[in-house]
Amino acid sequence: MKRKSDLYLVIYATLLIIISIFSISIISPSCKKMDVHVGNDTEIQSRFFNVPNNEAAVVHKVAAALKKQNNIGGFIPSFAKKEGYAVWDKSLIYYPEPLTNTYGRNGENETQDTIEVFTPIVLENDNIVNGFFFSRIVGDSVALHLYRANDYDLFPNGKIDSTVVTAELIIIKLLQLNDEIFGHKKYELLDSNAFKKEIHGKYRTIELDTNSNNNGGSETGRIKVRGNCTFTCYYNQTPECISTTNWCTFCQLYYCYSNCPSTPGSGTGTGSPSGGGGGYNWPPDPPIATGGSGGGGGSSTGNCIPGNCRTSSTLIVEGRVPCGGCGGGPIIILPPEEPPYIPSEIDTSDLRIISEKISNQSDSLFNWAFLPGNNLREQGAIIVRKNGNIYLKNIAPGKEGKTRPPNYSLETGEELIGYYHTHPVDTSYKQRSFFSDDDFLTFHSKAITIQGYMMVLECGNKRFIVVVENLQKYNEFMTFNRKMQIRNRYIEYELLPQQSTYYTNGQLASTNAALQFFGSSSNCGLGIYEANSPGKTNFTKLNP
Amino acid sequence: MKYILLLSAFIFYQKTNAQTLKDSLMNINYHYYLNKPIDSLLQALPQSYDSIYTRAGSSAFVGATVVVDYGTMKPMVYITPGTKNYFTPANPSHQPPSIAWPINLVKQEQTWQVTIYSLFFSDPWPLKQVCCGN
Repeated sequence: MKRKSDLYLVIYATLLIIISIFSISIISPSCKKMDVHVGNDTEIQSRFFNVPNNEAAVVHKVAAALKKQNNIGGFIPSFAKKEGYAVWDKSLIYYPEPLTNTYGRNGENETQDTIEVFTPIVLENDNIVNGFFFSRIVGDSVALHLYRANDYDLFPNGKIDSTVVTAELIIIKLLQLNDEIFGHKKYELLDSNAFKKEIHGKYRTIELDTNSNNNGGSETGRIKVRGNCTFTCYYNQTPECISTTNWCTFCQLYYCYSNCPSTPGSGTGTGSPSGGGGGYNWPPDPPIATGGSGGGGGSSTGNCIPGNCRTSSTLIVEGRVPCGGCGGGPIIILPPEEPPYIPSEIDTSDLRIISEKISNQSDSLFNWAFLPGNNLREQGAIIVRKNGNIYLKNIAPGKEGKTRPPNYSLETGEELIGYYHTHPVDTSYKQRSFFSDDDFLTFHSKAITIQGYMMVLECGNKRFIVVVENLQKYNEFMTFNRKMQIRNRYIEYELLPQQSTYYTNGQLASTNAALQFFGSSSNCGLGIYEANSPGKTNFTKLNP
Repeated sequence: MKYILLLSAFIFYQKTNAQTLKDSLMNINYHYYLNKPIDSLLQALPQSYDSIYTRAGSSAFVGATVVVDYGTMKPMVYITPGTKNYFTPANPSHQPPSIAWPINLVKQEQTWQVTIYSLFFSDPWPLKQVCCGN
């Protein structure tokens, strides 16, 4: 009896064990799956909103506002997987205009309390910006917008200083953010509609220019655009190019070179308040032009029906991100490493053309200094090109031996090609020195980024031109030490007194001193030319 | 390794110092000093400069520019006079700047333009330019 009951007990225990194992095997996977799911979402959200503590307060404010939206709609886990993560520490911040700038307004008690923040979004393990959050902060209010790289082409093409957001403006912002995170500067532009006026030709490269000078910050947001223009350039013929905004005079059937207009405002922040420059002003979105059917209004995931993209604005509101992601992007691809660009040597006939076009103005400005009451004052200007014409612009008298800072402002269609000034020193040409170290400093601010950029010096008896013939070489040549030497006037105070003609012909001595410093054009990337009176158009290269 | 650490520390120290100096220089209201004696601006600048001297203007044989030199790796201030009551700009005999345009005389002239240069790539070029007086 006892053995029988023991047997029952064993059977019962065995059954119990089997049932337990079976139960565990059924329940366990579902629990595990749920745990993983919950854990992932939490982890994603935690990672998404991980703003470094030392980040600017406005960036924390933006993250908090987005978190608030996510608390309503819970879109972040899906958004992060599909669109990417916010890279908070690479946000570009635009603070209100500073109270004081370099040209007056000092003391004005002008304040603007609008701060604009652009936060890039990058997909996991990707190396290109997939979009950005644009946030406008006024006091405690934060308006959040989402711009996807893929949807840029749903915006109208147009100028980047348009009154509404354009495809080009989004491209520029994406390039800036790409530069901030990945250091990418060059791209092949695939969209033939973008920057249509600025770039011609089949192969188009777009390059972010972060070296330009401006008074507000370390970066102007300008871009330089290069395009192959072989089919539009007819060297030594006029008009050389179809485009009014290229440098085909110098491209010699090979290259176009142009500047796009600068983005509105200037200066960018690089994640810290101190990096902020002048005020910015991201324009409003254009009226909805695509989709047609209206309605929509965003979703908790950002999904959209193909062909019905952007039926709502870019605004993130009521816990929903706007529909989108099915536009015609990508805009750009990173180009393979290009061989170094070595342009053909500048042909002196190009310089002759430029010199001829500004000749009357130049002589007139030089002679002005000798009129009674004008006290040998220098004149400064910029050289611009528009519709095939080349002329001096923003002419301003300086002082005896000193020019004003160049005024680089341009009108629509004008292109900056150089900097101009005079050296009207008494009636003896021997005192009319060559470009000084200071002149080279002024020249350098633009020359470091502009192939073909030049400075022209009118000395009455001679006209000198220095031109960037090889931008890469010039940048390599202008090392920190050389910049320091020029700043310390090494040419003027070290090399110039060593010249044999120092006391007998200051003009020749100063020319030779500069030639000694810069050396051959193949070494420094600059071509140094002179033309003699009376015509001053037949240029001779002084540093072959 | 030790030398690298020392060098890094030195560069860091230099850069921090330059940054502080830069901030001080940028915070000065230079417009206030236009058309006022250069000397008054010199007194308002940080006094940690290495030297103050004169140079030519943009033309090698015509002066003068007052230079406030804070040393290598640091911003440099150029002050251009707008008057020539105490000195003669032309230097036909090519005398050294200190003789052609004595600093004690030039600094009595009125400020016409102020330019600050920094050699750091991250800084605008020039760092600041305030122009111009009468």
